[in-house]
Amino acid sequence: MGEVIDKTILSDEECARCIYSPFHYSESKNKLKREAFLPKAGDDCISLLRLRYCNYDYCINHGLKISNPPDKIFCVIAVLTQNILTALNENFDTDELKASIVYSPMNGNDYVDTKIPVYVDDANVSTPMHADIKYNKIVKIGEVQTQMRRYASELCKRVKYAKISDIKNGVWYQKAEFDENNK
Amino acid sequence: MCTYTFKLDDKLVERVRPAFRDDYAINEWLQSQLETFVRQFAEKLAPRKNKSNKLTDRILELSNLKENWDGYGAVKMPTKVISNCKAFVNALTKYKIKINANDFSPTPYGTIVVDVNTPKGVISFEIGTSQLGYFTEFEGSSNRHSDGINTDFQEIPEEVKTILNV
Repeated sequence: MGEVIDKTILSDEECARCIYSPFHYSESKNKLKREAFLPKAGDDCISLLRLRYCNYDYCINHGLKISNPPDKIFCVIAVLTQNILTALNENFDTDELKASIVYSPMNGNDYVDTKIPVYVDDANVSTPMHADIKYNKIVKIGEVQTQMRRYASELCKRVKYAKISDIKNGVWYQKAEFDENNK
Repeated sequence: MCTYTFKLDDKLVERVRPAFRDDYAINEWLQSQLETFVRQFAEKLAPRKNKSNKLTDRILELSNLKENWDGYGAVKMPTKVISNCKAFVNALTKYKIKINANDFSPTPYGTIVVDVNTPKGVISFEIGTSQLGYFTEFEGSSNRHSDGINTDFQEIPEEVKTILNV
């Protein structure tokens, strides 16, 4: 067995979110949409991949599996850290809404019991490097979520992101803002 | 085919008569000139119609989204949200608020976001089954938001009219 996956998300640990056009990203404006950081109905989580336990090639392959052109095109990887969420939690103008990155390995579509140790090369866990942005609020179907949208909008301005074709060349957008939050 | 009657100044017609073989030729020429003019005017009006069609197409596109359209388990758009969105767009159009079809976005939990660009910045609306939420992202001025106004979406709520300056 390889290394055990750390249950603690480090403050500067980079986590990736696969972003799809057109719903999460505007090709014409080259801009992330806040909707990329909103959970589904009945949920409070948004999937991430921990770059401490995988590389960009893995993220790209993962994203391409979900890609379904022309309706849903995997085009961008966004990267964030716990530091960014901590700063947002402190500066957001209401104490009611918070978010943090949590350890949440997955096997297929099922979460793995977090009490069980999970290994990098675990045969029983398909996505050991999975993590979630977890809000302190579950959203309901058809119910407006102004606070969460405002939060997601601010988050969008702080993450760094790159087109999948540019990742190897190191072309990142909003890198300065990202670095500022991870000093 | 419709028939329209026009009155022309005789002296004016006399000035162009030498260029035509007879009155019938003048009539034909006037007919073709008028047609060209009306066609050009119709083309000028066409973009407005196209824009409205684009909005309708975009709402239709959102209503056709299937379960899990984002690959992360997003829900199908509730029909009530779609009808509210149509009503809200109609209400905004009445006040000549410019909306771009690309600024409509679905959320994974079944609401529709409409971002309206204003000279001050963006007003982001969210249309739910029974409420309208919004927040502003204005540069250098105080921002406002609402966690949800109960509305039937037929009319723009007064609070929102103030934000939109209408």
